[in-house]
Amino acid sequence: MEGKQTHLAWIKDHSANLAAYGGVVFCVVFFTILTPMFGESIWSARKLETLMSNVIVTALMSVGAVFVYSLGNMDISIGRQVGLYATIMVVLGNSTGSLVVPILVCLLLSVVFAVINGATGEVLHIHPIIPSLVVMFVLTGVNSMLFVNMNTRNISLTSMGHEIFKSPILMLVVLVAEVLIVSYLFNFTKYGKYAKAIGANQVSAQQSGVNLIKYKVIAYIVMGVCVVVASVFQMGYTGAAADATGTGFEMNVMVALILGGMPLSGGMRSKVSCAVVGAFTFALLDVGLPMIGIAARNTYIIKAVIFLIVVLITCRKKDGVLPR
Amino acid sequence: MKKTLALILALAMALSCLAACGNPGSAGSEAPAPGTSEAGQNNPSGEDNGKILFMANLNAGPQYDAYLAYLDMVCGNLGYTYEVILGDESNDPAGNLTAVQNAMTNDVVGLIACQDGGLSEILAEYPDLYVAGFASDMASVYDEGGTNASVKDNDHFLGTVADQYVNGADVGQMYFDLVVEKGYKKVATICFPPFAYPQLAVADEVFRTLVEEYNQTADEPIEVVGEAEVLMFEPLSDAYFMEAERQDLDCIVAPLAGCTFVYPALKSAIASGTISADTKLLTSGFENDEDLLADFGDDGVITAICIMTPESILVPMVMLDNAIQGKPFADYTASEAVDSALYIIDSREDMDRVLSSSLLGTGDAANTAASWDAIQDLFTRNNESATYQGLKDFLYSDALTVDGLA
Repeated sequence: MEGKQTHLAWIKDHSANLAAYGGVVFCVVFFTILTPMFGESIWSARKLETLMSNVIVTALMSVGAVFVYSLGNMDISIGRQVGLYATIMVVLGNSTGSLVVPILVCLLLSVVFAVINGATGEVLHIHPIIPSLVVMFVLTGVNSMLFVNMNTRNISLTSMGHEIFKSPILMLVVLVAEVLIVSYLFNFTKYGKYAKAIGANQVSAQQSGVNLIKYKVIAYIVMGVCVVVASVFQMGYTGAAADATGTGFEMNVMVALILGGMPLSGGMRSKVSCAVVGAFTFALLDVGLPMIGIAARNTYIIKAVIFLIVVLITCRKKDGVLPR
Repeated sequence: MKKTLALILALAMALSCLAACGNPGSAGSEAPAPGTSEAGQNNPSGEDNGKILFMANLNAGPQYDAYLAYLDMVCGNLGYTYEVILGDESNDPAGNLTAVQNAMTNDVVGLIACQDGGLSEILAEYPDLYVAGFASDMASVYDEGGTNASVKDNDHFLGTVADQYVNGADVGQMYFDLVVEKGYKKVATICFPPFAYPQLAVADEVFRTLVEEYNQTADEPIEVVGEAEVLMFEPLSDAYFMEAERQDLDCIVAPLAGCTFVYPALKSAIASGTISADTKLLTSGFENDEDLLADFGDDGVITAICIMTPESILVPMVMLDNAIQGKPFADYTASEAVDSALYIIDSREDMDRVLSSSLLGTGDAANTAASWDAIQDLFTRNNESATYQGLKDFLYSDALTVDGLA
């Protein structure tokens, strides 16, 4: 009897993880069995490439966003940041013949945005989402002005080839490397531990001597660097940038993290794996559902229902407090 | 009690998801408006020639319903299935490519693309796929130095049908003719940004040039108020009408989806008394909202609507089928952007005719002027002597104009 109760308690405690990991495992098994019956396996080389291209940008951004979400914050300017970085990479790439300078410029900008988004909320005592909202509006305007001045809606990288960024192997290698680095920073350094501590209880963290502004800005910098890496693949995949590039990406990141079981309120239960699991679950649904005869436009409904189920399991308040 | 309430709310959310993804259908139409057709369904040919992807730039409304109804009819008779995929709403190259990748299955043989972003990447990734454009001038393909210029000479790219005219000068001329015909003397113009719709800027420029020429001999000149208002893909703001010089306009010329982007603000300004109740709208786009349709005609706010005849989607279907069957037109030498068939609806009688007798108005392919019997000989599989010129002649025939409606 006691053993049964222990098992139930364990399941209850780990319901978020079970839902998230169970979801991706279910998708893998489900599509592995069903897709060959419809003519092509989801593990065919072509579909694996599609899967990787679907997942890479969201996964790279989400992995970095774990730092910010673990604070209990979110940054809704990252989509527009991707748009700006992609534009800069194409424009400067074409003029310099290399991506080194544009990537450095983007990294510099990402630090600037990280300082604005990470510190402003704390300094001005406003909700941290507000600075990112302001940055989003500013970047939307900047990007729009750039394309108005260039008198076109999309631009191409013409000075060099970009096929390398279409390689699923490179995508996988970069993703694994980023996951390892961010996991190390998140789990084994004070930057990650303090970020989780701030998310769990900001007052306690501050009274324990944690410099809130410093560690919040560092969390945003980690995410900013990951957004730049994601932008390289976003731009590199088609060798192009458009005025709308990056639109809505912040929502993709949020959906991926929630699907992966990330507590929106941040805290000690935040994990880097949430980002990867969520991003792959979403991509598996995007690629797999049309393969089993479900029209692409109807996949939204299935994704919405799955999202709803996961949210109900992982994000509901317990004892009046959001999971953290 | 709380758990029951939570369960009910969760079910309500799930049901709202289902409702949101359901098909709204179309007013006045009994025809279904599906996003896909299954093999064997509405397939008199009994053949299975593969699937056509339709990367639409709309996902609802009477035009969309008309496209699908017509695709149902044509694909069924040719033995294809089709599937609607939604391209990136902002025409982002990566977004369009991803949309195609996700929908790509072994049986896909063709793509009708309403957006040009990422075309060169799509063709590079799927070199055996035949692609034809629709409702887009594919400026990035045909403009010098365009980002998809390499597509122009790809033998798997089969040209495009523009949304109305390829050349903005023709659009400017069309609206100028309407302004003169209606006798408007004080007008303003509204456009989308030139970097996204360069031909609209050309249309505006030509319109103004024609007005200047007209004024040199006219007893009562036409005044074009200010520069063209540029809408950044957002509806016209109410503030537009706060400027004194726009409060007594005879008409607004908006060669864009004005029923959606301009009409609400215009109607609101008239209702609030901010502007003259006699201000009219010449525009494009088509909605089957009853109030809006009741406001059409010389006694209403919208006095003319210029819109692509939905049967124009016949052109990409013919081009794709000929290519897939390996029977191209003998006189087809290179891909090109061509004008669409056009409805110029400029009277209440015209509108009534469109609403009652056309594919656009009813969403029913039984009401098309381009029935299967009328078009089957345009395909080389049915008629070896069919020609590209013959297809264009049919496209621009009276049958596909308002005058051609029963």
